[in-house]
Amino acid sequence: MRFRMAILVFFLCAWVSAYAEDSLEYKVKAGFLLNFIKFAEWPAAALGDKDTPIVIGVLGDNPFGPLLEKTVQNREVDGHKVSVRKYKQAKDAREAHVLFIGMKGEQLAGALKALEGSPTLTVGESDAFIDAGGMVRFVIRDEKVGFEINPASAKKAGLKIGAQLLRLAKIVGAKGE
Amino acid sequence: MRLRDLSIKWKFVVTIMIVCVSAILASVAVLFAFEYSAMEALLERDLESISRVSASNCTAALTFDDPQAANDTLSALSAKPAIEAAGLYDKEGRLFASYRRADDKNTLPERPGSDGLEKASHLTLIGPVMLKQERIGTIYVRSDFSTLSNWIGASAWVFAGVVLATALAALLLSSLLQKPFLAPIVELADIARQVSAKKDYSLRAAKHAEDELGLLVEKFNEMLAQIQTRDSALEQARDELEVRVQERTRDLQETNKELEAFSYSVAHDLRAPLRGIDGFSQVLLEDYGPRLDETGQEHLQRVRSATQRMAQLLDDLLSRSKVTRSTLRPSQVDLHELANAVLADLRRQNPERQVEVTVDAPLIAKGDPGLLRIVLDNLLGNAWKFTSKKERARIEFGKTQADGASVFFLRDNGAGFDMAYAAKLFTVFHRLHKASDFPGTGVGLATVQRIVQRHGGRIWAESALEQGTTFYFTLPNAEERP
Repeated sequence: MRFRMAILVFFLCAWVSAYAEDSLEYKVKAGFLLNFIKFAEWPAAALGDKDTPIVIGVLGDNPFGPLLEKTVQNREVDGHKVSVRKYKQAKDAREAHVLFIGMKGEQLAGALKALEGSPTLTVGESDAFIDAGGMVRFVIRDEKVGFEINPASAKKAGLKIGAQLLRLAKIVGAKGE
Repeated sequence: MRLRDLSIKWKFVVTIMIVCVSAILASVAVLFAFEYSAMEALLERDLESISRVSASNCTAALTFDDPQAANDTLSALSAKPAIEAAGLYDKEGRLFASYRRADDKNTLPERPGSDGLEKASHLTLIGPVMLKQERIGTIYVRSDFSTLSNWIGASAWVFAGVVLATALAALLLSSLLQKPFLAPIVELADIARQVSAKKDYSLRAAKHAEDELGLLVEKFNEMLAQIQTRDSALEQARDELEVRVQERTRDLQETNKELEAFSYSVAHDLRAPLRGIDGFSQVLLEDYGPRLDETGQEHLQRVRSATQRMAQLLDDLLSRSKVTRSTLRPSQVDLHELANAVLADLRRQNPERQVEVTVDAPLIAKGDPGLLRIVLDNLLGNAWKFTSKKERARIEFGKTQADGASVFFLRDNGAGFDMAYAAKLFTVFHRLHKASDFPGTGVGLATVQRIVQRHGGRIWAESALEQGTTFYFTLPNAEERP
């Protein structure tokens, strides 16, 4: 009986710690999503007046759980409130200013296609995200969260990414460009 | 040399230089102070902009928690050598990234202080790191004052150069500009010096302008002209006087010579008739003596003795004349021998007299032996004569020292004389004793004085009535032999 209890406690702890590790990584990534806003510049029409909130959207799988909402809570950037929205369809996500796309392969390519021409900063973490036409990809370097940026695709969408941010990122280009 | 003894030209130059250099020093000091405060403000502004740029460059690194990137950014501050250290602190005040100059010895504070500029041994600026109007951290930048001290070092050289150049320019300009002012004065001083050195009052200073200096030159020249006039008048007067004196002297000498020649010829010519009188009165006495009575014989005797006295007088006058006219032939003479010869003659004439005589030996002198013989003839003769009435006659002849010179003396214990008449002692024909007491012509001592004077010497006497007489005489040419 006691032995069984010990095994149970052990597994419980292992699960909790795994979750905690995961949640720390995504907590950082959630913070990054918020901070990207501060270093990117949208066309004036895309931001609207001060009452218009800046939208961080999530398309596809949501690895953040409630962390993103928590991070964004009560935060303002440049006078704009920040809100989080979740989308099922890529065409609905065109209104988002920053969009985390939790998709892969054909599905990802389709979503990016649907977002073409919209001033949306696309962020992902799948290996082929940049090659598929995404702008910012999270990577893990030296056990720390870092990111790659393709400034060309951001520019195509009418976005300006601050030099400050570019300095921190690994600058990449899509295959075939 | 003291400053006030400098020439007027240098005084002028030094004064101008002092004025110029102090003016430029004052301006340089003001300029320096002004520039210094400007530099200080510039340094502060510079530090502020550096910190702002650094802060702005670090916002992303701070936001995305990338200390490496922030360190890289801050290390760019090494391009500013004055920056000692910089630190980036996150929102919670933890040191996030830092930069320290290689030689910096101070550590960065663990937590940033309050915002602001602090000026102490270093210049420290603490300011916010802003992103989209939100404070995301704090930047700390510390600078040394090397910018300022480098500037002081560089500008000190520049200012020193400016001061030096000004001093040189002042020296150059003032030595050029002093000419019109000072040339007349310098020239005047030069002329004055020449006048004083050469005693040449014909020199004149040139007048350059109608100003005060021109007036000075004019008056100076007038003064010189007056002196010159007076000087030449004086010189003329002196020349005239000299000519007159020479004329007078020549007249006197001629008159004197004529007189001497006259007295010589009188004495000489009177001797022939006198010899006639003497000869015939002797013949008269010898041939017709017995026929004359006693009174006649006595009168004839008187005629004879008067004639003989007159002959003696004429001889003395002739010998004195000879002393005056003959040329001096000096040689070594021993007055001791000369005196003994004279004394021998005197003893032969009066063998009955007992005289105690002391003569020092030797008594070397330089002089004309013939004339010195006359001197001793007279002096010893006088001593012999004036001691004739003493029971114990004494004569002493020797040499003593007076006033550092050798003096011959001749002392007797004879009749002596009253010193009140000493001045007339050497006057010709002047006698201090009656002819009846002591016979004599009154020519001897005058002759002696003439001889001593011709030898460049001096003769004088000390005496008192009935106490004896001492004659002193010098012969400067006398040379002593050991």
